[in-house]
Amino acid sequence: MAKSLFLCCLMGSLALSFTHPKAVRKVMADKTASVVTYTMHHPMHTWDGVSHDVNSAIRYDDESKKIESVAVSIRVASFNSDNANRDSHALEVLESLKYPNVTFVSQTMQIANDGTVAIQGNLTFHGVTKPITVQATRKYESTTLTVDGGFDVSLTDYGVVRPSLLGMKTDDTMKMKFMIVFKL
Amino acid sequence: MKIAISFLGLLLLSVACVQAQDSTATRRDTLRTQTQSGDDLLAGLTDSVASAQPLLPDRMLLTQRAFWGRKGLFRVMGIAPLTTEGREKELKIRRTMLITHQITGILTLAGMVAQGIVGAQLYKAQGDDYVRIKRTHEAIAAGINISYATTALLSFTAPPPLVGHRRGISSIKLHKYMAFLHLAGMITTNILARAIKEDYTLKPYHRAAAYTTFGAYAVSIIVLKF
Repeated sequence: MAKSLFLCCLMGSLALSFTHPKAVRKVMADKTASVVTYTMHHPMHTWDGVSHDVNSAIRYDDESKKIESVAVSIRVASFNSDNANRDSHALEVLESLKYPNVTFVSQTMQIANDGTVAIQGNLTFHGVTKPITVQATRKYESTTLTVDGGFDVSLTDYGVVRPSLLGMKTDDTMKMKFMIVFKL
Repeated sequence: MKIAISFLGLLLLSVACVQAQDSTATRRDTLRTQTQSGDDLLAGLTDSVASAQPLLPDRMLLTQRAFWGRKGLFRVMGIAPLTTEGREKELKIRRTMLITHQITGILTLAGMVAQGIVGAQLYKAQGDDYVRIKRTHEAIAAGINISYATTALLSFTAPPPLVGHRRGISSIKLHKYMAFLHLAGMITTNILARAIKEDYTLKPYHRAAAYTTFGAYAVSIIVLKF
């Protein structure tokens, strides 16, 4: 009787274990190696703002070596353009006291033949959430996975008042670039 | 009993196999699962991110601290309580003041250029021309002093920014360093302008101070380009 019960449970367990073959786990980004940069243009100059405070996590499948989903959250105050007044001006137009973080959450990922990944997801910026597609490339190096890519953001689409200096406004497009490193 | 248990085992096995083969169901649920897991990931991230941003920078101008610091005049008097909503309003006031600072700054620069032309003519003028040009020179000087003082006050008394001073050199720091130089130049030029009435030999020094002021002032605007 006991033998039969054990056999039954073993069969059931084996069967159920085969239905969930994935070894998916959450991997946090390595903040010391990750960076997100924005580039903006004003008629008088072009500048970059850099954030090394990149909070990101992926759900990674060890067997298929695929990223199943990704999330990123960055404090807007963490961007540094080497000009305190400019950064302060950016925080003003982004209303950082009200909307302190910019976030991205993936929804679907499509891997092209050349290995590039089109990540479709929602970008929440200045309190406005819009779907975007991010083009990224993956690079595996022994125990690290580096994901880099970029996308453009229209300030007016997200309800951001374009900052101005000496009566001239910046371009509406802000170019974003990222390099996020995960230790697998 | 034995048969029943074996049947239960087989049932479990078949259910599991059917689940594994139902790839349509797996695909159907993929989008929802990915979205959920992405949202879960984000929830974990935002929980770990310290979202609270300091309302005031650690370092600010002395004049800004006097009015807008934690124990500044406007805080103590209850005119501007230090709250998130209050700071949002202050930042709007700051932007208006800094835009006005830029406008009056450009007007001051224009006045300085005009003064340079009139001042050069004054050196050559004689008789009635001298008196007429001197009056123009003095009128422009009064205008420059008023617009310069307005420009400076708008900057010194504006509510503090969200980001305080940082180490290292930047265009805005050069702008501020130049401000100290042209402020000293403005004071010197004005003192010498009065002293000339007593001692005419001070005229070249007045001119030198005025040109230095103009140079520092122009540089303080040009550096903003970088």
